[in-house]
Amino acid sequence: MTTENKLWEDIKNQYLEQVRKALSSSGHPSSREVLEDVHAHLDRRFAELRPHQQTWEDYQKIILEMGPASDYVELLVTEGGSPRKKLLRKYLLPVGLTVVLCGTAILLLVQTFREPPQEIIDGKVDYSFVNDVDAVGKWESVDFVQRAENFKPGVRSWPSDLYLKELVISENGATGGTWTWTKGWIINPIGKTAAKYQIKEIEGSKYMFLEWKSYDYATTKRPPYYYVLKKVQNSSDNNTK
Amino acid sequence: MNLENWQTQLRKGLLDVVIMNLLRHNRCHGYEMVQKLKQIDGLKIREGNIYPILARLQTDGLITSKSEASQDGPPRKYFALTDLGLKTLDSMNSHLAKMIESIQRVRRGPV
Repeated sequence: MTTENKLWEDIKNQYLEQVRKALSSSGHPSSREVLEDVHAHLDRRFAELRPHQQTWEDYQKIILEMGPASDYVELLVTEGGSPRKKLLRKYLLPVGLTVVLCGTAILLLVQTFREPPQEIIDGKVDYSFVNDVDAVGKWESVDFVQRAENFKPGVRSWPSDLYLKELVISENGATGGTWTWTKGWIINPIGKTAAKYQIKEIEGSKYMFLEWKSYDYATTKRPPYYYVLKKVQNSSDNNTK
Repeated sequence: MNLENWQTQLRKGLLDVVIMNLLRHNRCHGYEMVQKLKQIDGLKIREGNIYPILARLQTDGLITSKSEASQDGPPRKYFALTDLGLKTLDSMNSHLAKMIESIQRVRRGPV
């Protein structure tokens, strides 16, 4: 197996695992079948890639085009939900919510007295989650710049398409894709990179400056460029489209 | 109002009827359907979206599937409408047409 194939297999398997987890919560009898169909679809997409397209960026593009794992449950289970979900809603959800609320309160207390998180370095990606209410929500890419100071609101300097279209950051440390995050960092567990983000308020809008640690960065260690993303939604509830 | 959210909900609501209409005249495999759906302006389907919908339609008895050998890869699963699916689709199309007509009347304003 080539390095590219191995990279693809890792990315594919991680996505399939996310889908499997999402589907298992639905209790739908066709969950396994959906997972197999998605698997076959991904294999076909990979088979259609030309050699020069077998890059980390192209693999991520395929995953982005597949959509977030949460979509599968939403589209598989119609209004009313499965019997398992109905049971969950009626009995287990109130209990679960109480447990979550208590847990959150304890976590907040613990975080108040804990040390600030350690500096994250590339290669180490298993860090505990620290929430950042400013980061939670939906962000849309508006530019790609060499330095954050180069960005001017309303003026796009990057001449080509923006590969990263959007970023959905959820309160639980998940994003709309395979990445995870913690306060100040977007973590790519597959590429084993942690990209620093900074949020700035400019002319009344919130912008995120996100280091872009692509496959090129991982191999050449050139200074990363920055994606500039504008906040378009404070909540991550509607992370599909 | 968040226009994008509204568009997302509208798209998701229409996916069932669009997919069933794709199967109205010809059976189709999932990958082929994705390619056709991606060409529909404004639908902006995510590629993975189709599989849970197909599974649900199959559970509801509206479509069937059959795996067949493929010359260029693993076996392909072809989907087709059942008789129940065809009847249901007729009702869906009729309902959709009435709704569109009613909305157009509202848009035109009082006569």
